[in-house]
Order: sequence, then structure tokens, then C-alpha cells
Amino acid sequence: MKWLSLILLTVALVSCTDNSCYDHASALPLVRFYETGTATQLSLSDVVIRGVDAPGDSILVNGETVDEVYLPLRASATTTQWVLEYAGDAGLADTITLQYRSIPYFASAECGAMYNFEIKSVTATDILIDSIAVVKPVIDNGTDVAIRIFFPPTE
Amino acid sequence: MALVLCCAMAAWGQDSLRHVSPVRPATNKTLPPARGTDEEVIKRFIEGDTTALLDKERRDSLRKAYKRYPLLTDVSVGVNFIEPVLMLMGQDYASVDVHATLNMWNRLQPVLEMGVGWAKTTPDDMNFTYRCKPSPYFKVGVNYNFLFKSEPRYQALLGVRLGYSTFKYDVTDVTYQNNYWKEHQQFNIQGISSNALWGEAVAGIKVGIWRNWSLGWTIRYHGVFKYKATESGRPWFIPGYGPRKRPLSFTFSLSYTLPLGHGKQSSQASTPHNRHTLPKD
Repeated sequence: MKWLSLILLTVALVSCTDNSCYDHASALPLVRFYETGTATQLSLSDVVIRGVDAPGDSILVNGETVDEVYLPLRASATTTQWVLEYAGDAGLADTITLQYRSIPYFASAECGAMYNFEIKSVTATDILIDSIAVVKPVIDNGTDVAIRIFFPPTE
Repeated sequence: MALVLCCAMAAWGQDSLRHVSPVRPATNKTLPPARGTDEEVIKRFIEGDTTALLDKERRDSLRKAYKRYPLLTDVSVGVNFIEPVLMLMGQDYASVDVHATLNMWNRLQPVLEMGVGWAKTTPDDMNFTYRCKPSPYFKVGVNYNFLFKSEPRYQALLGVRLGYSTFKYDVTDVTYQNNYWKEHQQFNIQGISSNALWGEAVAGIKVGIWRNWSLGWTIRYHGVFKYKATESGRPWFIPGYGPRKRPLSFTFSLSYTLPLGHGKQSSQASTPHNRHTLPKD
């Protein structure tokens, strides 16, 4: 009888399947900021981040302090541009340009179907940005860092 | 008078001693082996090798008590049909297969399973419809029957399987929405080709119900060794396996058994009357 109980309990535990999606329901590139040379993670304070030609001039980050940000890409286009305005000054801003290919993708029954993005190239102006690097060429619904942006060391 | 009485008592005492039966040791007496005893047993009996003799007698007794089935005991052919029934009750997928089992010594059973699996699901609150057209799958494996001493009609089995399937699937009616860029699109992903290789640990029972017909139940714990993922996605359903992330499956099958060697059971051939002979001079 003990064995039967143990078997039934094991079956019950093993047969429980998790229907949750632990990743994102869409593919978003995670961008993180670093200091050139030391690769120390940085926080940008009082920064405004907005997409070029975004409907209604919508702002993604509005004067907050961030050390990383998800930048959604347009699935209907092959290029998306983002502007980073520092200290609320529109004249002190960098523009990031991403070129990519949209790939229709079925992730799982839990997370659904979406677009993945294969990054072809990424460039940035050099007002404050030192360099930019793609560390994950195919953007999926995972939570790994995809793009690193390096700034010069603060004095 | 007293003298006469004493003499009479002494005479009676001597007479009673004469009636005591003497002890006759039987140490030198050798009983002959029973008629029909094996020649080897007789030889060992004479040599005084009683340990080996007792061991052989024990094995002979076990052989008489438990049947030993021939190499080719029987062949069973069956169909597993539980999942189409469950699909009628609302399950989103099904696999149905025919299987052939060769019963060897009523103990080891090589198994071949061939079937077809399909799926169609549109989960609530999700943005897609997943379809897998009927696709073939194959499994090979072996069972071990723990009731090998009993009749083949009743079996308790543990086994393993290796499964493989090649299949295509579609993900259609996908709705994509990007709130920041105000995008709303619909797209289909069709004809995604995939394959999978997996293993199963099987536990089950089989019960004879009428003549050579029997019912069988198994529970299977399985895992995917390898599957093909493309840039368009990873399969949700694998024919013969079920949902890729689900570790358990069940089967319920009806099978027909064709006996091959019941008339040649070695328990019949190993009875003393058939096999043992008296030694010849």
C-alpha cells in the first residue's frame, strides 16, 4: 500500500505541467550601458529615450534613471532608430540605428507566436556614446542582454 | 516361604529382561534409489555428494512447480486507441498506433510500434492556432514480464522504448501587436519541418479478457533526446510523444495473441517419468 501511494504521488507530481510563460510574449532587445575600459555597468540619470517617427512622439523613458532598457523594434520595417537625450537636453543626444530582419516565430504554446529579429547592423552617433556592440545577433523573447552601449569613464 | 518368594521374584526379573528388544543399528544398510531416479543422482548418491544432490533435487522441484515457456511463446498484435477517445472528449492531440510483441520465454518481449499522430489547438487567450497534420512515428523497445512464471494471459511489465517521428506543423492565424509602434499584424507560419528522437520508460499490465483477446494499460515517462528547431520555431507536439514538455503519457490497447509454443513447455518435458531413466549395467 505504501508503494502504491508513493507511485501515485510521483505520477501526480510528474504529470503537473506548467502552462506559464517565463519569457516575454514578444521579442525585445535588451540594451545595457557600460563604462569603456572597465566594462562596469552604468546608470544613465535623467535620460529620455524615444523612437524616431514613433506614433504620437511617444516616449519610452522619460527622465528616469536607467541602467538597462528594452527597445521594441518595428516588425513592419527593417530599420528602427532610437534617440537618447541626456540630462533632458535635446541638443545633447545620441541616435542608435538598428538594421534587422523580422522572422515570424513560434516560441511555445505558453508564450505564443511573435517576431524574432536578426540584427544585421547597429550604429550610433558619438555625442556621448563611445561604442556599441551586438552580443546576441538574434533577438528572441529571452531575457539576455542583446546590445551593449559603452560610454567614456566619468571624471 | 520368604526364600521361595525371593527366588520367584528373581526368576521373574530375569524373565522380563529377556523380553527387551535389542537395538539394531541400521548404519550399514543402504536404501536403493527410487525407481525412475536420474542416473546422475544415483551416481552422486553412491559417491556421498549430498550437497550437490540436494541442490539438484531443489532445482528439479522448482522446475516441476513453475512452468518454463519456450523461446517463442507467442506473438501479440494490438492497437492503442486511448487518445482518439480522449480527443473526442476535448483533448487537442492524439496518437494511435498498432504494435507487435514477440513473447520470448514469457519473459523478454521485443516490441515494435508504428502509428500516426496529429494535433490542432487554439489555446484560450493566445494568439495562434497550431496544427500538425497526421504524421508517422515508430518505436522499438523491449518489455520484461515479471509474471513470467504465470500464464502469459496475465503480465506485469517494465520496458523501454526508443521513438522517432518526422512531421510538419503550421502555426496560423497569428495576431501580432506592438503597442509602442502601434503595429497590428496577422501572419501564418506554414510547413515547418521537424523531427524528434526520444526515449520512454514503460510500466504496464496486460490482462486476458476473452479467448486470445486481452487489454493492456501502460504509463510512460519519456524525454526528448533531440528535436529539430528552426528559425521559425520549436514544435509543441510530437506524434507518438504528445506535447513536447509533458513527461507522461498513457496507453490503453486491445490486442490479439497468437500462441506459438504452448505445447512445448519444458515443464512437461522435464517431468521425471519422461526424462529420468534407471541406470543400465
